[in-house]
Parts: sequence; structure tokens; C-alpha cells
Amino acid sequence: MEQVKVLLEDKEIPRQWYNIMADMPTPMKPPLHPGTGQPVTPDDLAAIFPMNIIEQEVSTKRWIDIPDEVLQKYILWRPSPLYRARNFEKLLGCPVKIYYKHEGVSPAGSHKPNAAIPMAYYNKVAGTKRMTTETGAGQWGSALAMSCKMFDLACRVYMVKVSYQQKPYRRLMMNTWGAECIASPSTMTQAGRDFLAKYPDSPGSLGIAISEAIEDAVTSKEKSHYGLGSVLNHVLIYQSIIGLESQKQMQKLGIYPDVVMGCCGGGSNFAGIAMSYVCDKIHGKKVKVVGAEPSSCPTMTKGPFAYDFGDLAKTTPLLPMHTLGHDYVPAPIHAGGLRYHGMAPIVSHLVKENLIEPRAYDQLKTFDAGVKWARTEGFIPAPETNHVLAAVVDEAMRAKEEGKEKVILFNWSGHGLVDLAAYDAYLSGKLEAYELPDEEIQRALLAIKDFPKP
Amino acid sequence: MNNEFNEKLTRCPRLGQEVIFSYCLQESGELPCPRIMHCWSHLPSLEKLLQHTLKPEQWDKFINRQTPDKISSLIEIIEAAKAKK
Repeated sequence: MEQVKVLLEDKEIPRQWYNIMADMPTPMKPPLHPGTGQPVTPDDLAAIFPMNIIEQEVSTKRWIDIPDEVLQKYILWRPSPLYRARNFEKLLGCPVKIYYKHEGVSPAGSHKPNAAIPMAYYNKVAGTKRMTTETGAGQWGSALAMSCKMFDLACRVYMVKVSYQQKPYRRLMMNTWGAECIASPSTMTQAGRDFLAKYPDSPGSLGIAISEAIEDAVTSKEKSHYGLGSVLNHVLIYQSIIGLESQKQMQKLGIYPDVVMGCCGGGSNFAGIAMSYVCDKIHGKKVKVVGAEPSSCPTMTKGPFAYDFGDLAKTTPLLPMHTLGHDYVPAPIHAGGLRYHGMAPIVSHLVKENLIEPRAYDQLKTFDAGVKWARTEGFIPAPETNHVLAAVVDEAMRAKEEGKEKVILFNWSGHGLVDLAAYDAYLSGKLEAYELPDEEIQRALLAIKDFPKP
Repeated sequence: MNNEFNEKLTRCPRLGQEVIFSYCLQESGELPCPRIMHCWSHLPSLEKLLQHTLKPEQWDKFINRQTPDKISSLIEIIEAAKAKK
């Protein structure tokens, strides 16, 4: 029988989180206070976070001990299994071994509790009585709801109204774990009331939900704090347990990955698998670290596999890749001021340092990969997880085209059992396909016509 | 804000669910979502459509809007919340 899973015993769970800030090759620019223009101080954040979490947010300590109380909760599902995706490998027929960390085994069904548990714990230690947060479709809200209950904290989640109405199951998960789930904009806060007065029929947005959650925490008579599930440094630190476990598991197999991949939204799931490998890379290990993000850019689906420069400035060597020509710039990039800065600053900084390679995949390609996965490996991935699956397929095809054997490791960040409406939209053809005009493709490919063919 | 694309569906990476184009168009109250150019770039002439749909002052506000980094935006919200205390 071929081995599929690598399990660690409870006692083998890592006892420390890893903090990439200790190994940053160049210093990061500090965030500035929008009012004063001066670097943000811990006091600026003290209204919403307890000081023990703020200390971690600004810490440059490489290793941070995981409290026993947190470990006791983690071991309800951690160490999570490392799987080898043998059926998916067979389907792809490429010279790759594909391993993945199954984060869908957590009670909330995703990697989110890795951060929610310590957040609730540190709040409890700091004397917090209740926590507030915002959520879209509810992955983070449900993780925090569960974690607050575990540490006997009250929890109120402001859920964007359109999600509240369309995603009842995660709302019910939050309620089941004892949290209060409020459709935002609401009449519970001044920010919500002001917004409703202006836009009474608003379906809500994450921006207004964040404002409500923070106002609630800041103005509450009971000692309350706010919890954010992504982007910030302390969240990335807590998620590092994914990569640290995987390193132990890969070591048991006696192998080391050539490529480590995760999907990048706010950065927490990607950082979870990637940061301990980025550390290895900084210290000389040969490993490629790839972040997969959503895009409506069609490069991967429309471009041929050809030699091209990896960047617009032509500073890289010629690389074999799927390309529409190095001078192809998708429309949103032209509109510099419109770009959305939702990525964790640490991840953005590491991209600038060329330690992480970002790749973007359009939604149809990601769902195509997700459905192939479900039909081979069985587990139905969360739609976000489908981004990394598209990247895995792409990397496997590259290996085939380059004639190289590769070991790929990625973070299977959550299951999609509460997201089946998304699969319905895909399977019934309701999701939009990108149609790049042929003349645009031909124009872009002129830029590489004289380059050698792989 | 009626247009032929309003009922088209895409997956919103911020919310983690499917939304229709008209949601993205009014996500921030009177302004479109900051990601609209990113998520809907496959629509033909999106920029022209937005220019046509938004009032001139809204368009100016939209294209000149700078999305601050997360910490800065948190601090702005904290200061606004403290003022309501």
C-alpha cells in the first residue's frame, strides 16, 4: 500500500511560533499614523488590541513560545495531517510529487482558528470580557466565535449584510458557538446608523463592518477588544504553525520541497505555510515560494509557454513561462491609484525582495482545478483554496514542459462544504469567463517572437 | 446605475462569496469597491463604463482615492470611534 498521510503525534506539535521579522533581509518601513505622519506606536493601537498582542505585532523575536493553554486547544485538530495527493498526481500525469497540509480538519473547517485561538487566549489573559470583529462570508467570524467560547469570552460579529442574507450556515455556526452575529450596517453603532441614514438599502461592505466592530470595541462599557483575522504581523506569526508542522512531516519522509505554495488573500494562509520556508531560503536553501492570488488577468489561460522576461523592466534572465509578453499589463495595473492594498505588508515586502513569487489566476481556472481536485482526492476545497490548486496545476505543467521532477508542497486551507453555492455558480456557467481579444494576444506576443522556444 | 452588466456574477475575494456587478459598483456607498478594476477587468471598456455611470465628482473621488495600508486605516477608524465615545 502506498503511503498517503504523514501524521504527527500530539506531543510532536511545535511549541513555538516562527516570526519572519527576525530574518527580514532588509528593514520594513514602519506604518505611519495618518494624523501625525509619525511611526505608529503601541499606544495608538491600545484602544482595540490588548498590550500582549501589540507586543507580538511589533516583535522581532524569532521564536515565540506557544502557551500551554493554546496548545491544549490546538491539539483538538492539530498537528494537521500532511497528505500526498497521489490521485491528483495521476490525473495531471506530470513528474511531480504533490504534498498538502490539510487545514480543513479544524472545527471551523479552515486555517483561521490557528490565529483565532491565541487571539482569544491573549485577550482572556489581558482581562478582556468580550471581542468584536467583522466578517464577510463568515470564515473568520466563525473561527473567532468558536475560540471566544473556548476561553469564555463574549463575541459579537458584524457580518456584511449581503453575506448575512446569502450565507446562513456560517452565521448559524457563529450562533451555535454562542456568538452574536449582526448584519452590517446595523443600528448598533453610530457608524452603522450614519451609513444607513445615507444609504438605507445598502447591502453593506467590509469597510463599514470594520468601522462598526471597532466602534463597538472602543465605546463598550464592558472591557472589549477587536480581533482581525488577517494582514497583521501577529496573525501571520500564529499561522506559522502550519509550515513548522509540515517541516517536521517532510523530514519524516526525508524530503524537502522544491516549491511551496499558498493562496494569498490577506496573507495569513499563505504566510502560514510559507514563512518557515522563506526563512530557509534567506539562509541559503534552494526553494521556490509562490503565492497564488485572484485575478481576471488571463495570462495563464491564454498565453503560450515560451521564454520571456519575468518583468516589465527586463531585469530577469529569460525564463520559460506562460506569457502574453513581458510588456502585457492588465488594465487594473494601468490604474495605479485604484489598486487595492489588502495584502499583509510582510508578504508585500518579501515579494519586493524576490523571496516570494506572486502568481494570479482567474476564477474559472481556479474552479476548474478545484473540481478536478474534488473528483480525484474527494475533499471539496474552499473557493479560496482553489487558487492554490490552480497554481499547483500550473507548476506541475511547467515541470512537465521543463522535463524536471519537482516536489510541491501547498496549504489546503479549508473545505468548501459551506460554499457550495459558489460551485453551483461555476457548474451552471454563471461565473464570468475572461475573453481576451485575439488581436490583443497577438499584439502582446510580438514582444517575444524572437526569443528561443523552450 | 443601470447597465447591462449589473446582474453578472463574480467571486469577491474580500467577502469570500459571489456578488453581482451592481454590488461592486456601490460597495462603498456612492463609490465602487476599490478592487472593481481588478476583479472586473474582463468587462469590455470597464473604465469607460464607470466614467459613464458615476457623476464627474464621484469619478474624480474614485480615481484619486488612495487605499491606506491596514494599520493606517485601523488607526483612522479608532480615532473616529474615540470621537463617538
